[in-house]
Amino acid sequence: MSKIREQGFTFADELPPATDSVVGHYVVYTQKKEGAPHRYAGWLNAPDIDMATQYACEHYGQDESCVNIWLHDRSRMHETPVSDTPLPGEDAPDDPGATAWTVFTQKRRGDIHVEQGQVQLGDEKTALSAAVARFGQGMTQVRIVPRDSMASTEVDRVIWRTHDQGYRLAKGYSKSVRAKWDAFRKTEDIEEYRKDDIENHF
Amino acid sequence: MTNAMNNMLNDLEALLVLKMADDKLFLGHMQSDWTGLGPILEEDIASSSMAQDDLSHALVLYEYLGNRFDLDPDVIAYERKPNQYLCCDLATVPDDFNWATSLVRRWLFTHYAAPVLDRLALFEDKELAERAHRLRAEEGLHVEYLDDWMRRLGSSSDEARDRIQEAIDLLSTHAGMLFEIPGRDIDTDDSFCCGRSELFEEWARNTNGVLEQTELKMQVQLPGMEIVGGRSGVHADHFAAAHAEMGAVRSADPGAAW
Repeated sequence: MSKIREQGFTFADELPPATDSVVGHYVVYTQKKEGAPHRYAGWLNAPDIDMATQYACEHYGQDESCVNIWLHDRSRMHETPVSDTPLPGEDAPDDPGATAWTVFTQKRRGDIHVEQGQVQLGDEKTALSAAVARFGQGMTQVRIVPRDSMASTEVDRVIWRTHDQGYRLAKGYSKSVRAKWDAFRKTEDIEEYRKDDIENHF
Repeated sequence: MTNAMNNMLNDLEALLVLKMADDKLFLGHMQSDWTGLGPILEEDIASSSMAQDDLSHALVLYEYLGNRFDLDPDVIAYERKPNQYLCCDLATVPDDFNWATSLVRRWLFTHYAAPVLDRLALFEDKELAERAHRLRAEEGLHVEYLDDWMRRLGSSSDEARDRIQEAIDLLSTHAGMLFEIPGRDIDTDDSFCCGRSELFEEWARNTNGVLEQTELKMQVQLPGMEIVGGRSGVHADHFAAAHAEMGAVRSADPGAAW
């Protein structure tokens, strides 16, 4: 922390912790390039979906190049259980007047969910079953989210910054910093330091 | 002081760029103090991301000046005398870890930066215009984000509104000096980047436009041309503290490669 600002810093006016009643949980998907599928990026807390969108842009939108962000309240998604055996599903024809659901699938356990397409069916049970039949082959999990509950960033909104972002990325950072660090200290000193560090922590 | 640095400091157009770069350098530096201390995790991440933006914007502008005057951007950023920095007092006034002060400072500033970048993007110098154009798009994100917070807090609970109003009362006394003309040789409004009064009016219109949607109030007058401050290198005491700390690592080993 900055030395000059240590003065006058008190916790006396600290606000009470946020509670679930004022903070929602939002699931975030990012799109790397135009036309590419949206991929699960993570989730976050925010007071409402508008603020969640702003936060998502500054948080997940800065992890790698990103042109669009989708997000929805965590309570709005429906999922199959995670399964290593083929998921059971029954297709049904889309009903143009019914709810549109965006479908995400997970290929292997632990993989991120990737946008696959859409089904348009009345209730979540039928929709999830149809989503499995159409997109669930070889997948461990299928997720559906009603389209009208999802927020999206505006077209052409700047998310990923246009100036050099190399310093933000861990891969660029670690390489250059490691080179400088190595030049600065002898390797054996680093190993010695690591040993101490591990000892202190475990 | 090298000839190249002197040339830059005596070029009126360069001073317009330099004041914006200095504002952003100090603002980014001050806001970075909040990293890890934000009121909630996502706000911490977002404000740190925007502090990085400000530092990057400073770099983009220092690089432009570096190319034009054959100077290392780091030398421009770190190796001038305190009275050769052109940032305004608003950039370095301490916020004492009061989130309302931090928020209002950034909000007052971003409404100034956006129209200034609009004007720099119209300059004949293509390199400058292109850089300003890119930065302007990103500044728009700051405007949108900070406006949103001002609207929310300004029409929220009594406590939220009072805290923000207090910050406005504290910082609006410095806001007028955003519009001080850098370099004493520019002596008419019209010669300054499309006009000082016009810029002030645009700033006042945009900030008041947001405040009208809340219960907050702000009164800022455009100071007289004779009033001298940060943009002329005459800084308040808090600048010296911020400057000393910001340059501590650099001055430990000037010219070292990092």
